[in-house]
Amino acid sequence: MFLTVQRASKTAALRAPVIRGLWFLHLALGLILLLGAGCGDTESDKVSPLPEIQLSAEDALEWDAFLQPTEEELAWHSINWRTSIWDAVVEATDTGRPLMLFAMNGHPKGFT
Amino acid sequence: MYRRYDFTTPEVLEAREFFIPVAVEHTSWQGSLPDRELYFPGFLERSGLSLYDPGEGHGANLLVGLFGLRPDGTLMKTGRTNTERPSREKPETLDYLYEVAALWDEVPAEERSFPGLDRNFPRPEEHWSGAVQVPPMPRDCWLPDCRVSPSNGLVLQSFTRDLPRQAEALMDGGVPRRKDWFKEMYNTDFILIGAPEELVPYEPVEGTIHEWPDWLRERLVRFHLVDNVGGLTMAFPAEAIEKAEVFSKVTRVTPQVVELEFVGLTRAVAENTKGLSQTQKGEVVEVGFETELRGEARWLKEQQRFEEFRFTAIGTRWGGTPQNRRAEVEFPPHTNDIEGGPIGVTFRLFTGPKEDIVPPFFAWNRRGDPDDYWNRSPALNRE
Repeated sequence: MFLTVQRASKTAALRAPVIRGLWFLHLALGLILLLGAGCGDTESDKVSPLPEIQLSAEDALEWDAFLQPTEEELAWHSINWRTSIWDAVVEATDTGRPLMLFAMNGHPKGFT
Repeated sequence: MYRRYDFTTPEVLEAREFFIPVAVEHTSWQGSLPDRELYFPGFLERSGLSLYDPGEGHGANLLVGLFGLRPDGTLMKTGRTNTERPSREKPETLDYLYEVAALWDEVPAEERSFPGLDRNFPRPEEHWSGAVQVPPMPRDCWLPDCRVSPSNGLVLQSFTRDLPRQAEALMDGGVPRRKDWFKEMYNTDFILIGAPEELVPYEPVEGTIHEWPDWLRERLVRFHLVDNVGGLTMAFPAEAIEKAEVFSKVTRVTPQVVELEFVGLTRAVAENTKGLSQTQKGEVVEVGFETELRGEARWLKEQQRFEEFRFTAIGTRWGGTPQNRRAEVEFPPHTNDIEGGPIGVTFRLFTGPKEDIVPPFFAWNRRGDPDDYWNRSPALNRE
């Protein structure tokens, strides 16, 4: 709201010393508010100690590599599994090919 | 999920090319259709995939698996190729694919299409929005036109595995409780974060520490730091959260980027009142998941998005669910591998095609409560 008032009054303020003076007052107040907002930390930005944990950054990187699926495990991803049965039916009709439907209680391409 | 392992050998992959492959979460898809006949007259009946209520007991197997279908839905053959062992040879799958191909060869040319298909049927906005109950009101962001969609925000893919053990817990007779192929199994999920800017301090300065927003910490601990290695697991209720301390620390700032490291501690404990078996009632077991978390990311200021994002949670799981008790022998319950073991979950920025993104598991309307999953009024600050 302050910035809107600032812009709206700027042109008129340049014409009259009285108004110009008010404009400077607005500017000063606005700067004080902005500086206050910039310097004041939000609750979540307050510097606080990080939790102490055993897991190092290097170990986390190694575990990340371990947890990734292997190429063989990802081979099934190399199949262009359609996720829209509607589009798959249209494609099968157009190409004259049968469908191989993989249906699960949980999505096969995600967590099942 | 074991059938993923059916499609890992070159022979099977080659044989599969004969077909149009499609993967669906069947009950959510079927249950969400306002009028099945609108899309496929007769398809569900010809395929045998009409919505089935298993009632008491475990009847869901009728609707899961591989189905070789004609384009009009006529079922040619269904395959019970449940290959649990990830690295085992796949003769059953290969034989099944050849059998279906042979059946297809006998189908007359005039029956190899879907005569009643309406190509102009109204497609859902998102390729999976017909299969998941997308909340009618905007979630996970503040703008009125925000949608639950992988088009907005941050998409991470997670992978979960058991970690190596120094010693296996043994049953009577010295047999390891944990099925050996659990050592190789992995599972995956997606996490959608509609307001990724909330992970970055408002005015980032090197050294600033910023706690992740409550709603995201809760979502992570309840729905994503879970033992899903064997699939179909339980989420933690809100009151199960004991620790959800996850922070970003600014490590570097330039006019263009903000680099962050992530550090966290999590713990959730709840009771699984549904037991360890899908077919028989079992005893109540305590289920827990406790981790330490580390990661890093790179935020682009002008684009307001993450260019890199990775974190890994390492810790312990204990308890079990029917799919995740890891045991060779289902009963008695003490033979299950529920005392606990090391586990890891890693999350990475997903950079694949949008079509490969599926909704987070617990956002599906049959698997969890979508309202609960997308809720931005976290339990962490509730009275």
